[in-house]
Amino acid sequence: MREWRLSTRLLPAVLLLLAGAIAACGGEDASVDGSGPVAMRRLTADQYRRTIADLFGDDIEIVGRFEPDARRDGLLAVGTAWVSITPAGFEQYDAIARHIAAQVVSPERRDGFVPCVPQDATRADAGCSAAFLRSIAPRVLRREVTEQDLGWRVAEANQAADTLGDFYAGLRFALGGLLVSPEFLFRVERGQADSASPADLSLDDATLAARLSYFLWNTTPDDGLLAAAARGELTTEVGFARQLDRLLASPRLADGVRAFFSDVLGFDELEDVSKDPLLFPRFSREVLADAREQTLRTIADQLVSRDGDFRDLFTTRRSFMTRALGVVYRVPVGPRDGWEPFAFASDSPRVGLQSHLSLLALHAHPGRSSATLRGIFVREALLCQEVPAAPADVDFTVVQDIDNPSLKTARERLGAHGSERTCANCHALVDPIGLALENFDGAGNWRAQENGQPIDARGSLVGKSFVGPEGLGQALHESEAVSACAVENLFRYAVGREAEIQERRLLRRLERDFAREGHRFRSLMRAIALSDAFRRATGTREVEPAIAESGASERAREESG
Amino acid sequence: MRPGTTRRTFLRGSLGGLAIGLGLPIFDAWLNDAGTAWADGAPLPTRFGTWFWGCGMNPSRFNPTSIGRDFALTQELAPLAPVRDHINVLSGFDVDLDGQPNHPHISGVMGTLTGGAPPKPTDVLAPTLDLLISDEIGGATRFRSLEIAATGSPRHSYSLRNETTRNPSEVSPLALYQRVFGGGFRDPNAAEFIPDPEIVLRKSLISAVGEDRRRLERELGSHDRQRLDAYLTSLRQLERQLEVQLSEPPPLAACVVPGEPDGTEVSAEIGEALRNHALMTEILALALACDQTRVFNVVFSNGASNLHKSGNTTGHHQLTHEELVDEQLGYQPEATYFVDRSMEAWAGFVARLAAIEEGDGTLLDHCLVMAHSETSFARYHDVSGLPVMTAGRAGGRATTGLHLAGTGDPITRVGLSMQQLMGLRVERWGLGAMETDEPVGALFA
Amino acid sequence: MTRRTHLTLALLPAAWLLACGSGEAPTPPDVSRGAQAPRSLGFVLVDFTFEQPDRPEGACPTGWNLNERDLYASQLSQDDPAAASQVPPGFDYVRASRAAKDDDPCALPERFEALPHNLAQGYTIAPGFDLDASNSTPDDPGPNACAHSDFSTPSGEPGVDNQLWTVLGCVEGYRRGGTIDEYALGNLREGRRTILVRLDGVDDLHNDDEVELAVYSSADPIPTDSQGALMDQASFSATDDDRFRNVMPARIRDGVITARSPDFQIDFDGQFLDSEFPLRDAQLRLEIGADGRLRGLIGGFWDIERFYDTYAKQASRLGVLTLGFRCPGMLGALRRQADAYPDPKSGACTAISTVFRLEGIPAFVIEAEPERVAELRL
Repeated sequence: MREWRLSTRLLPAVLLLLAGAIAACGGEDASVDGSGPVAMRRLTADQYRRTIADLFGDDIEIVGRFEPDARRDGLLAVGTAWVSITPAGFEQYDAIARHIAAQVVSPERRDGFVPCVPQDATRADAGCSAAFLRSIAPRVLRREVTEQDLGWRVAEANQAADTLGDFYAGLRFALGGLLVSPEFLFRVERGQADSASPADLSLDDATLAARLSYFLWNTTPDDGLLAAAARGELTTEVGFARQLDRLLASPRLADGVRAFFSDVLGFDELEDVSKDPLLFPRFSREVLADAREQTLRTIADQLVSRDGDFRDLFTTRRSFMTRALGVVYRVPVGPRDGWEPFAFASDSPRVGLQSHLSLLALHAHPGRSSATLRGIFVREALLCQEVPAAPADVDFTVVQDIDNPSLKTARERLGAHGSERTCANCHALVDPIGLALENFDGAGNWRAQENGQPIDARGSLVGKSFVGPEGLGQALHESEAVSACAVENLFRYAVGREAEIQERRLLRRLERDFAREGHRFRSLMRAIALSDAFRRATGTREVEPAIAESGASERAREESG
Repeated sequence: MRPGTTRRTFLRGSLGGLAIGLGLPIFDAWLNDAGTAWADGAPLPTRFGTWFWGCGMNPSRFNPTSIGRDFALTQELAPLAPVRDHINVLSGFDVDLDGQPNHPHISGVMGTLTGGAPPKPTDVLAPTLDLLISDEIGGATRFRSLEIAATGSPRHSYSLRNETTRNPSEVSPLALYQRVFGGGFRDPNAAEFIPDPEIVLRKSLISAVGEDRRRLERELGSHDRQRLDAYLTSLRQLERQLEVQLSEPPPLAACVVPGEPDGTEVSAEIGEALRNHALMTEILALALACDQTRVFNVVFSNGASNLHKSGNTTGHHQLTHEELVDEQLGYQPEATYFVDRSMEAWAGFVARLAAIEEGDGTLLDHCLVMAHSETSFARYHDVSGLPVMTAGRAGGRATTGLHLAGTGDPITRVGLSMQQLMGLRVERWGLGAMETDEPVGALFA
Repeated sequence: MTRRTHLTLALLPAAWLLACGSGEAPTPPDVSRGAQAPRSLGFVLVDFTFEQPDRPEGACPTGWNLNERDLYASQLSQDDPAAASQVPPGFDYVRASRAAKDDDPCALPERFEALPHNLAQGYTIAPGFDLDASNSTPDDPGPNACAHSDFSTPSGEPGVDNQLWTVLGCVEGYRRGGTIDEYALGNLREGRRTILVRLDGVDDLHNDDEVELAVYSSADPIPTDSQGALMDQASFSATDDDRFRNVMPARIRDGVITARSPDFQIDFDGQFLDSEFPLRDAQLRLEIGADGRLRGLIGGFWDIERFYDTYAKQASRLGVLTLGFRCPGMLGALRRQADAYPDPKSGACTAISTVFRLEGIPAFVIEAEPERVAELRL
């Protein structure tokens, strides 16, 4: 197995080799689905927190601000393969890391992590520092560590211990350094060229362990995965399947499913939602936090606990409630604290995720609802369709007189806008979807009328007409495009990139199997993890030559001082 | 001296309780060649900043009619009366789309700050203006730059190196205060200076982490190497911060450490935005006076302003599109409410910088601030005649008190002028049709 | 009192109002709009305090009752008018006015002389109930009572029992909208005195001879919205302490709900108070308004020792100074004005009649233990 080692000098040669191999084959290898490039993926704020909790304990405080994750191609998960770290961001990571390290080596906790006792706690002890680092570094860096990795870290620890007269201060420094290492902050993915098929690289055990863990549980690999990786089992079919099935069977699968939907539904933007307190006095940060949890809990319940049909997310009346939510939904809630399983009545307007406060409030304005924003959400997040942006030269003179006595409801106002040709084409794609949800105001409260006029909740999607959230839910349930989009989103989330052309066939097969097996998420996740796209790669992501040059000259400047 | 094993070896030989015994000249040598190091008694540094507000203005009510000095302040510039001698108003400078689509609320600001209109809304064709300047002058201070946003979201920032690297904004006065004046702040006027051994060790460690990346670099593809470079640049910035903390700062008379602010709500409600802006201006002004940074970016409201007024169902952005122009008044009164508040906030910002005495003048005299918006008339996403103002005399290099008209020239002339006024050696700037080599001469003293 | 063993929900009266066609509901409920009529209605009280009669001219001929401070000041000014205004704040008037004695007159009122207490006079009209089914006069108090005169309601019905009002009518702090009312509203808002009302088994909101009325205490505070207003349609857990659960049969005639409870009691905490509100022979009269709110009265006999304990002994120094009375005087007045439950030996009455008003907003009253809620169905 040739060790994967690409440098700028070898790159053109490798590219030629790849091109030649493809040309020589004269087409796709039918037994291999194809895969795409890898790029290192920055941990999201949520992944960072879970990783620290799993490495050092739930009670470790994480104090600081993470720079916002970036969305690309609609997903934060894809953005992770493109972002780097800004100076302000690094400053924060460093502060967070030092605080974590201080807690880990504190007298109350150190016994759980330091496998030895120093000879003299007021000085360095190279042997004990090394033992500590040997046990902790592989878990933090998510790979086996070499003596070269350890050497300089032990030296830094010893230097700190002697300067400050405290052995544990040395460990604190060393751990703080590990936690700002690029191999902690980013998931570096590595592979080896397969002599059988030189155009493809098979990802190594450490990479597969991290992929499985972050995909299915949204956290760092646990002991079982690390041990399997160390024994080289993940690069075997049987070993990989065993770990895969173990992770799928665990209730922790809910964490992965929740993280996926939080990404697709855009819940990172919930933090920025603010509603006018005069118009929506019942809306508060607490309600918003509960609303987010309600939706994710409902999804986890349906897809993981019940292993149910994904499409039922749009037609289910099952959900969960807290008292804070109960006051807004205007329903009774039994337990004083915490969550209660809840079912809306069979003729309640609340049905499916589309009637949850979280999505209704997120896709609206601070002072009122927005059929357009809600329609755009359905198109982009649920149907994977791009909605073009509004043109700059749009003319609003025809439109929208809020005080017009004859245009009382949003439907009427948007209708006046739909008569203008430049607006109608796009708005016809989105407004009819959102108008079905107009009984829910900007904060998600139910209302029968707007400005004294009863609300007409007729809508349509792909030529199908319906009324209200239940009708919309039915249309989403029946739409093959919705299921296909879910498959594509989950695929992109898992591999952290857009699908390559050679992966289209795989996607179609995944969609077919998803439908055939009852639209169950667990089996979809399994199929994605078993695919070549997940376990193999075509190489590392490369940039266009022009930009690569300027990057090279930056590095040259660095090196020459 | 460059970062590397040389320094670490030196350090190792002299640590173990002897850090305090090291003389100052050694620390001085570790400072980058900032050029404007005040330790040698050089003149006070010049600071650069941007101040952005969303959804522009009403050109007929905003742009002055007469050119030059003593122009009459228009209705929308009226709040600037108390500071008119400190500012310049520029009109008639356009973003030339050069065949690219006009992406609403994006093309105007990206054209102004990167020198070219982006083909796709997410494109960032070049690093923004503030980064060009902070790359040059930001290395000497603890923070390369500081970004703040008054409407609650860290994503409201136009300090972009590329598509995926945006310097996030501070949104809370308390968080800003703690970052600048909390742990890690060296009071330049403090009586005693003792380098902290923890800082020495942290610097050594960070340096070593940076060195270690070489091994990783060899494994990565070109895309990831670029990103690792950016990581390294950020790491080096922290390293410099630590260096600065290890050297004795010269006393700065204008530096007064402010009191810690109370926690406030952060949101896009206009009252809270104004309040948070005022609080953060206070802290930022003192951060500049205490030389914690020399480059800053303020986003009062983002492009497509998300400002709203409590009790109104329609926010600023929607109003610009939906509100009918009042036939008597000739403008949209509710949308213009936000223009007036924005101008009041800008005037307050300028006044705050002008209120701090520094050297033989004020802090503002040693600043150059560019205020701008992503559109002129927001209703039609007009990117011609974008509103631009400058404030401050850039340490004597810039004039003030003028109205200058651009007659349809590319706004890159303004960006080029900013760079030159800040001492950057650049002759031309801009991309495609916006490339220019003509600064706005009247701005130069 | 039977405890319900299955989950009971109290739905909104607004749906009822829509069904009865009595006008637009203030806040639309998000509940079943189906044909099956709801059977339960719930409320949480936002007002619960003394219902006052209108004060006639000359009701307090010798003025308001004095508190210790005023008394001390008036005594001082008899000797030296200037001295009265120079007394520093925080001065212990109670101690000073008692001269050498060290005991707390509120804790041990018997140790002190029976001080005078101005009773309210001239009231003939007062809200309330005829608790003892008789129109009492001083000569003919009625069975099981002590000498007193009943009042008439504003609409002329005789026999109203509200003797407590004669004791409180000239105490300034008990004025309408005064200190006591403010404390009462504050206690409700602070969440230590949440009171729930539930109507169950209602087939017809206008006329139904067999409904069940329950009044419960609750440990859950009433939530407020971002503007500080108390929110309706919140959920509250009824206490499972039997002392504070009052379930009684009731009837509705022409929209007026009436019920009786021989031994009514709810928890009555608030700030420094740890007490109960106990009424014997209680009667309730309630109506649900077009705005969905519950309003009405509850009357009954309050054990005077327990009233004194809550409103004088626990209120103590702060209370007497703020409200304007002296404990020994109050106790004496209570004993004189008590009109029910005579002590078998002494014949002196031990309970005094009173009336409270109440107002409630729609709420969900939750009864069962949490683990039973899984079977919830609307």
